[in-house]
Amino acid sequence: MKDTIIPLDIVFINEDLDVTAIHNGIPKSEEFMTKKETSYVLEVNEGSGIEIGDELEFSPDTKIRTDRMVVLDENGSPQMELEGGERIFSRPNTKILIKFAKKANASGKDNDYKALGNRVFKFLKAQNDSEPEYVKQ
Amino acid sequence: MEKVSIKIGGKKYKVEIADTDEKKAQGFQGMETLPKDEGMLFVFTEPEEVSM
Repeated sequence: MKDTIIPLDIVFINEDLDVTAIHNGIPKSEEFMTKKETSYVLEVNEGSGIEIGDELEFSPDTKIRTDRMVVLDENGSPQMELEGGERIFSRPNTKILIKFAKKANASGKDNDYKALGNRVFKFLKAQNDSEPEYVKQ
Repeated sequence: MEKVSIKIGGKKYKVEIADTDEKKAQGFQGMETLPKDEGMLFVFTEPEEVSM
């Protein structure tokens, strides 16, 4: 731990929340441990008594997001993180499409299905051609 | 971010979550002491080979 001055226990944990290895982190040392299939690393003061096989437990209401979804820019850098609930179509446009779909479903007519298809195309094209509506600050 | 409560090896800790590259690179740099019941939990969204 070349830039850290606190002696640490560096605890490697897999996705099943089991401790797979512990490395003694020595201040200013260039030494490191490498472990495959690691999902978490816990760093605490050295001499913790944590052992291989111990299990990591979170309190029931903990929200650790282990699956972030991000929108990438053209360079591949995260541009925006998705929170969930993002919509392709706005609520008003969704209502319009449902209306068209119900009509086509009820009538079974080709023209009504064409009208639905045209409207879907129109909304998708508008989305494709316009700037993002939401900007992450 | 608030500290998260965890339990491991029969001991309870309050940990900072390091889930971004910046937070992971920073770690405990610049800190001189760490309370006995606190720590940092580095989170890797997909299991990977980690060197620390």
